[in-house]
Amino acid sequence: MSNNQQKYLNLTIALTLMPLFLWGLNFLVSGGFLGSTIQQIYDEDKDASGIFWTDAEETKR
Amino acid sequence: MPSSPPEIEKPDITRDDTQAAVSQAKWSDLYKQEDWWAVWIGLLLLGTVFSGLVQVVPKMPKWEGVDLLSALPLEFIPQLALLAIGLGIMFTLGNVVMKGQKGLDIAPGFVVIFLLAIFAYMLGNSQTAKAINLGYAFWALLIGLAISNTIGTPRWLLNAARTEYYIKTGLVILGAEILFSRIVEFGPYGLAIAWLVTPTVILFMYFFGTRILKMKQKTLVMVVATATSVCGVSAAIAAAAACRAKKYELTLAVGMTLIFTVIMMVVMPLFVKAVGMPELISGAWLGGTIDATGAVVAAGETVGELAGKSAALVKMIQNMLIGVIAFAIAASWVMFVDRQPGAPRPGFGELWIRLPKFILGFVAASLLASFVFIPLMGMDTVRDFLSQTKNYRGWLFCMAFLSIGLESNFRELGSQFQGGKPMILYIVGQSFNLIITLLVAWLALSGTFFPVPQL
Repeated sequence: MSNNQQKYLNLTIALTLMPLFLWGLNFLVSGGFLGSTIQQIYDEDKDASGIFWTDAEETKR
Repeated sequence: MPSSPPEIEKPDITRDDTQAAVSQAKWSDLYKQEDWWAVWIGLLLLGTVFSGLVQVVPKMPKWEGVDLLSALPLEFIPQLALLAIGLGIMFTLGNVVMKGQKGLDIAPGFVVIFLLAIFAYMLGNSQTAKAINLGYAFWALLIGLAISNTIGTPRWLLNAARTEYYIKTGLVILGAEILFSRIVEFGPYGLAIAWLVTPTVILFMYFFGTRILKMKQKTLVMVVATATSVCGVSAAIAAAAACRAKKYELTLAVGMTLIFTVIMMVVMPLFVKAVGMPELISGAWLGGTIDATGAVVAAGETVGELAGKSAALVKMIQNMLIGVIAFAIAASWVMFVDRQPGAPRPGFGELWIRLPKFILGFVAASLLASFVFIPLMGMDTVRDFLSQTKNYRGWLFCMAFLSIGLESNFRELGSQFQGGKPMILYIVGQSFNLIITLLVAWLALSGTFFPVPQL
């Protein structure tokens, strides 16, 4: 495998690992393995990722 | 298997024209400087919504479970294509006029960056990611870094990776979301907690970072201090643009903010419940200390309804400070930090020339929304419009974080750690923030000195 092919393989692996990482997190969060606070936020379908007030405001409505 | 990260053809991070053009102001600055283009595009995008020309700005849907395909329904694709074309034309035109670049040199990169932004939104909009504060900013950075550290970011893609351009335009749009009329809703209690503590923490962290830790990068100190004391990612973006911080510094501040937000969001509600802290005080404490706005609201509501209200109130007031602080940072950088030792203090003329002009667009958007649109259209209509314009802002910030990732590599990022000084700064500053916010919240809300407010 050439160096160039190796780089593209690394990129493919990195991009594929992202959804897999998310699914792993989903298992941990929904199973309550990251603590009760996170699980409550998850179960109540709240958005803890808003970066400005108006993002959070929409979640509350 | 592992290969060393390829060298990136990294453009000059100080390429912003406003820095070079400090000798004299010219009318041509209005169409040759990136700051002014950010103002025009930002106001134009606001105008498309407030005029009724654009009624819906596409927003990626939230999705549940593990079905990634449900994150991008097919009916969204035409809307996203239109958005990409519209934004692509504006930003490409700006680059062509400012830099004399050919449109075809930029457009392909813009399309790919927009597609990557869709991917970042898909990942960040999962119920899981939203519950643990891993929104689009985190994924956009990660995707950009994955590309730059594996295949290396090609030149054609870098041509469209215009971090400052996207950030400044997004900030102009963000300005419209800061409505002065809402300040009166909060009363003196929230103002005292948010507006006394926040500047105190910024000043403490700035002096601790520059004098005690002797950190040479004052911009990094300021970005970390602002992110810690105001409202996390959005404050970091505004501060970084105002003092012209390097991309690595913004990445570092945002990374630390994301990590500590998750930790504080988990630990603080458990702590306040364990010690039996009154909900009103605990909410104000959470609101004044947890960086990210969304995390504050979510964590506050896990403590209780009153804590949720109190936390939201304090955080909203802190958010209002973002414009004032960005303006103060920009002005103080021109007046003091960037001034050569022994040089005379710059007069108004030089202050005007060197001041980042996007700040003017940011303030103008806020004033327009607060004092023109609300009286003309009513608060509810303006809120409905803002619920659309913030989607423009989200796309622009997402592309900005992708651009930062595309222009960064792990080796240079690692060099910013300076023996862990930024981490020490964050931890010491946040600890100070925790203590002083709790003290002021107790003084204001315990009923010992003032009547307990009714929320």
